[in-house]
Amino acid sequence: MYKVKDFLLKLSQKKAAFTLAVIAFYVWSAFGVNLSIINIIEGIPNIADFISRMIPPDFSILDKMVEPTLETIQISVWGTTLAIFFSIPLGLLAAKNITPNNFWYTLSRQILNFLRATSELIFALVFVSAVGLGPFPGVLALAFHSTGMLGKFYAEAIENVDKGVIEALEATGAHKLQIIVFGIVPQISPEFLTYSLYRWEHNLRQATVLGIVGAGGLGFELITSLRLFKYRETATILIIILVTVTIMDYVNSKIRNKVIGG
Amino acid sequence: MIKLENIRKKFGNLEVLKGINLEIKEGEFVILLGLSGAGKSTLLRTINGLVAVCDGQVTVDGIKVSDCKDTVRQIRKKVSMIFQQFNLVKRSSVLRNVLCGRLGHSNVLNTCINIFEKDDLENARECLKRVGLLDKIHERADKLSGGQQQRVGIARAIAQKPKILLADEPVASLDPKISKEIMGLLKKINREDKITVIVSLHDLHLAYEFGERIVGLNHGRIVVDKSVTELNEEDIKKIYESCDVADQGPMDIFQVDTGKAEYKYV
Repeated sequence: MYKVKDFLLKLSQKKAAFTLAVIAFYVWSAFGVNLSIINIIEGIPNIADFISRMIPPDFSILDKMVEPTLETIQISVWGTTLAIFFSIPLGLLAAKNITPNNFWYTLSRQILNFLRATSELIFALVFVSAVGLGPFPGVLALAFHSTGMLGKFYAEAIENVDKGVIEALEATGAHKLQIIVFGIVPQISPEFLTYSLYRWEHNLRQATVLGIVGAGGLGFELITSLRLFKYRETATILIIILVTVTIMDYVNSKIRNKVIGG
Repeated sequence: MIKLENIRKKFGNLEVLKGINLEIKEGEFVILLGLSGAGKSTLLRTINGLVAVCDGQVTVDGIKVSDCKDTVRQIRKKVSMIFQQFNLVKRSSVLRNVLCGRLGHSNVLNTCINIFEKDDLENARECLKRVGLLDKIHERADKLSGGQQQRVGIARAIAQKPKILLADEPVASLDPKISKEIMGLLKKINREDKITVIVSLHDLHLAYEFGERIVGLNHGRIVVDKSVTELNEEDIKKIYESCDVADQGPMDIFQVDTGKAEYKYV
């Protein structure tokens, strides 16, 4: 009986200490970021002013926005496709059950970590200075960062496959490549599709802001309108982004349902 | 055909096989009888190199099993295997699962872009016909019942045109009626194709009904090796007696460690 009581006491002490530590961390962080409700309340008139200048949205620029919109979609398509290509080999090498040895495992994991840790915007800045302004550095930026994300997801999906199937294929004397094609591909295809489509959707959203650093698409128009204080045009561009992303979301869920549900 | 000489296998600190000597002739139907954790699965897997032995020598059809890549592939072409959990690729069609049995015999790159020899396709149909599932050829494997899935497993195994068929607890996940059908099928394959069959079982009744030669395994040692007709009370006691303490631990460690072993490709 005493033991149980001691145990509970110890546990609750630990829990209390942990809770206090978490609260302290949050308070400390709040000071770090100047978290202030007063500032928000004081800022409300400014926000209202900003919004009022956006109304009504200037739809006269719609025809000029067709090309940047299409460009944004094109950037997202190529960025995602290249990422899928790069991340398949990296994902295979980074999966514990498939990697040939520790060297390739560590190397591919490190590459993926680096790509994931570097944001799209930073990649875009680098590529803009490397290959010049325009949509192409945007494509490269999305491709590099997405490779880091997709490679990790693929690797995890591969690590979760049914080991028994792999053993059964090994027992037939199948080559490693055949084990991947016959045993692993069918098992991971639903996850593969889901992650890839989700990434495409994410990349479309990202492609709309990459233009801010000069990497083409709607973002470029967005930052230009803001700099010229043409807030009514900004509003139109924001609406276009919203509509495009919503349509994409719808298309993606249709594809997913059709392929996985069937 | 198969010769095991003084086989020892350790997973960590646990010795699963403690010096196994066994010789099996061509065309024999052998039942490996023992409790869970007796070492049956491990013993079967030493024959096709899925488990590397720590000590001793396994010889299959004149070839010494080693961890050399080419040797292992050569042996695996002759030895097929079926599993308790069937281990089919669930999202693939029945046909594609059976074709997997031909992978070791086929050109690697061709199969990867889905090109199979005409003979292989014909053979796959033939194998499905033998297990009575030709009408399910285009169904997805996970749409089939357990018994049907094991039949596909058998079709995949015989598609390999093996000299030896290893069956690791093939009926442990099936109900009694289906179990008998599957055991009957294995026996039929043994008779008709002259394939050496080794089945691991823990069910004594099935062993009596279908057995010819019974090899009893207990805690990594062969305790009985005789014809089913000569099996007596004493033998059965030897196979099934166990001290409880030893029985609890080994299974856990065994599963964890085979998990590791299965991850590694040769």
